[in-house]
Amino acid sequence: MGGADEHPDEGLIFFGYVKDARGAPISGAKVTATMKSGNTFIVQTSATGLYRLPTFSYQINPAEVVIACAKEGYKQTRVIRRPIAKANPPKPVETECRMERG
Amino acid sequence: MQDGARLKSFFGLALFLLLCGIAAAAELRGRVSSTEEGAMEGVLVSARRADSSITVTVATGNDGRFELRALVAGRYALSIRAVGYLLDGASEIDVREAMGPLELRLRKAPNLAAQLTNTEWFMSMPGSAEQKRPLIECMSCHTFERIARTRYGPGEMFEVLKRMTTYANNSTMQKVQVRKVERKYEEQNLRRLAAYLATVNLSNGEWAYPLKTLPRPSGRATRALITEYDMPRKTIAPHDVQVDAQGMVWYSNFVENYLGRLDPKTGAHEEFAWPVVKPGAPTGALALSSDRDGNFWLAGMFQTGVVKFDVRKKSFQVFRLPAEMNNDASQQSMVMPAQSQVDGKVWTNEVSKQALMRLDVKTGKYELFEPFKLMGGSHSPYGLVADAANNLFFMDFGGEAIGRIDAKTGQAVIYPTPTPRSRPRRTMMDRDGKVWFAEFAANKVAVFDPAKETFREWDAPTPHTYPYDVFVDKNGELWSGSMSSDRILRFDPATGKSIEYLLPRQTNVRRVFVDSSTTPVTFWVGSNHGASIIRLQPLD
Repeated sequence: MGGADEHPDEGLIFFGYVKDARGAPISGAKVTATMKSGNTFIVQTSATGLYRLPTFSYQINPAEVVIACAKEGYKQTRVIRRPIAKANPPKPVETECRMERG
Repeated sequence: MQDGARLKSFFGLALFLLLCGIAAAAELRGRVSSTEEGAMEGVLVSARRADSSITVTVATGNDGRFELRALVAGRYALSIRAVGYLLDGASEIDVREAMGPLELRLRKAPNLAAQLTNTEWFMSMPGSAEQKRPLIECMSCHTFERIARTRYGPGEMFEVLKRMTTYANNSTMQKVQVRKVERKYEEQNLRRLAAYLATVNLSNGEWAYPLKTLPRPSGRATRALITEYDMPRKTIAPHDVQVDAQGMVWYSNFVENYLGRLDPKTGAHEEFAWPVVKPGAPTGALALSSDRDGNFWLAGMFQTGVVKFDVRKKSFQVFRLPAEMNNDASQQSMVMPAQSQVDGKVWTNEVSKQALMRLDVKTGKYELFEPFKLMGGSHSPYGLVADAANNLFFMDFGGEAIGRIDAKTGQAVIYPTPTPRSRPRRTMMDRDGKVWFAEFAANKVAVFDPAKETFREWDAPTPHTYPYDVFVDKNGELWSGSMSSDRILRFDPATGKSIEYLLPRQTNVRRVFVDSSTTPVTFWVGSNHGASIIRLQPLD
């Protein structure tokens, strides 16, 4: 009667890919989402380089969530955020985190 | 803060004298068979001496044979567990020295429904996984037979479910407790569940689905000796069980303000009462955890706060929540004092705020940590474990993550599990600092490596078993218990091989404990609904 069984998918969604310089997906990369409060969420990318964060409340301002990626042997070059279409409720936020060897 | 313990009850002395006074050891051996199957493997045979609180159980091997050794001669009650069957013949027997083998015959049970575990009800009831999912809340207090035997239509069932939201989670059928404030619920979800339940109960006069059963244990799963110690009152609901260095078994009582202690050698039982500090609120404690000095801490549930028991002085100290933090829904289900010697701090949770708290033992002050503030969604920090620096790892039982709170900075890091909606429940840390935990709703056991920040998950071998907790033993084997199947899981992560031991009675398993001081190890668990404590000694 409680727990995760209520509204599993309602809220603000962050998802996206981690890719190398050539655009190939990087699996097992660590994706960090840092909130304004300083609390962070850490997930790993799948075999296809995909990550998805748990659903956040709409009270969170997506612009204040900082996405970063890391993996041993790589360094992050940039994080591309797909333009967010204005919508109510907000659309899922897709990012692409690029890394290169080094 | 309040002190003072009251030695409450003391029984088992008579049994102790009986056990010691009669030196002659007898044994009970024989064979179990039925017309349908011939010799039967995996039938649990239990014997309990007249006037004793202790029942011993073994399983038959593949030739149908069993052997219960080192019994005291006398009159015994015999019982069996084999789903679909009943013992045909005398259920009492005189056990004497040098007696011949018994031939136990089983006959088909006319009332199979009364024998089904909740896992078997889950398997039998038609419906989608989404329809059945909310039922995992029901089994905290009762079996599904109770639901399946009702004749309510959707409207009447909705009224029943609404009433259920008024009960405390620390309720059993022997002791139903009403919350001060009802649980939050969404009407449409309750209505959906009520409509589903009305399709699987007797509202149409009969069950329109066959009753399915799990296979009996076989092979290694039959090689264990199980000893069940009945508690002196039916209302006692052992929740967390732990064995101390002297071999004494301590447990938290989920519905009454007692800390209990059992001497497994004699069956002697003692209770230590802690004060009711919040009159009118449900009584009882959930988590039991010891600190470095061997003192025990209890999480005070709706009584609120945490409670320390000084083992030498036999006295309690209750650390109450301050008035401004205390409300009618306040609930501390967990306590983690294991590394409190590092900084004098004990971790706990505040269920009503989806939050964690940290107690400064010296000052009695609590700090609040709200890692999910403004996050939305459903969260509920539950199982706790601390590392060597008293940094906290917590399970988000309401959601799908585990979290870490840094003891120095107070910052939280949340690690969602690879499986969504997994509802991590209880946890333990192994020697290497890895965090093992049960993914209750995902039917998995899992480990998190804090150094690499990675997870590994394994499916429980039987669907719908809903592991509550895990314990890693000295051999690296993982033990877990099902809240729904009356089975204990022993799993080797190195080989992926698993064994499921069946328990002799309906057993709502919660926290599990493994005593690694014996070889093979000894497994302990409380029967939360059955007023007993169970010891399982694998024979290999």
